[in-house]
Amino acid sequence: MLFDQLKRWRRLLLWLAALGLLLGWSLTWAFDAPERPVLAERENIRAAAVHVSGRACGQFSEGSGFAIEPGLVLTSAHVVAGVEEITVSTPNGSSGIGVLVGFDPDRDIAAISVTNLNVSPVAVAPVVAIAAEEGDVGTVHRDLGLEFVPYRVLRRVPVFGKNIYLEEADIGYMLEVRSLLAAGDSGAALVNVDGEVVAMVYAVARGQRDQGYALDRDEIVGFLAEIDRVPLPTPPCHSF
Amino acid sequence: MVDAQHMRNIMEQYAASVSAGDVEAILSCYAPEGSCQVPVGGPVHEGIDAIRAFYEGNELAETLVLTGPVRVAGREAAAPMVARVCFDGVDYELDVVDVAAFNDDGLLTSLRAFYSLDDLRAV
Repeated sequence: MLFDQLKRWRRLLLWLAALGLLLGWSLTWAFDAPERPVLAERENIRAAAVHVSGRACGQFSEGSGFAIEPGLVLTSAHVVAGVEEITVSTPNGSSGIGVLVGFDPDRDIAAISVTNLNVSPVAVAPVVAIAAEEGDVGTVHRDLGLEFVPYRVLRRVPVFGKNIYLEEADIGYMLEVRSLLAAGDSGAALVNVDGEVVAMVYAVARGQRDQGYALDRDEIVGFLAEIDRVPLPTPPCHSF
Repeated sequence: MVDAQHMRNIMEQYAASVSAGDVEAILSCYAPEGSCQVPVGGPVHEGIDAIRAFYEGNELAETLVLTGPVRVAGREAAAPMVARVCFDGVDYELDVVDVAAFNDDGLLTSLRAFYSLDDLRAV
């Protein structure tokens, strides 16, 4: 009788122990999960991230961007294509008019010169990102300010396809990433745990909300080496 | 049969689909060989793939609402509407007239939107 009771108790205790482990694990997970992306390195992108907006061919155009050199901001080419007056604003609300000084419709990247805007450049990662590497996308919405969206690298792939004028082009190397990106995130920096830029948001995969593509750091470096940093005429609106 | 009521229905369905942000529903209003130009003066997007790329690649109005009866003549219709748009964190209203042409199946062969961003009203 006593033995039976003990046996029952032991089973209950085992259950409780298992439950405790499960609870402990899920609590650890629950409290750890938001912890992971809260990195000191985020401060780098916090000081560099901007919002870019303007009007082009009767449409509103907006995206994110980041300072890469003193007075020089990068964003997606499709964000500024056709925009006569480019507004660049920081998450704290200060804003200025930018001048287009670099534009590549194939890689979908543009450089904007801005003065009197309180931003600090962020460094480009010295090497390319590898699969499973994690970090944060630092995206700036005009009304919500700076937001961090975690990403995980799936693979690094060369992309051939249509450029922003729907012409066949060699786009360049992309990082395919798992991340909850949206249309307004175009031009935002993917920052690794060392606080360096590994890529720039390029597009969200069609029909797959949690997958996106980002222009690889090699292409960013290549673009920066090619541009003359002199004011350019307003390029035509993109074809989509 | 493509009668006036059908064309009115399609214009209402188009406005409701834009308000819902439902690109598939918007595309279902168009003929495969259709075209769109939003606004008039901007690029013309020809064929359903280009039309899809346009609606997927640009910010849609938050809401698009008919403000009066759709005027029909022959196989064409003009629909007075007001669009509500959000830009740089500010909400605006914009008066729009969409002019559309239909094929034998009652689908849009052309849709052209008349408006200017200079006429935005902050709300």
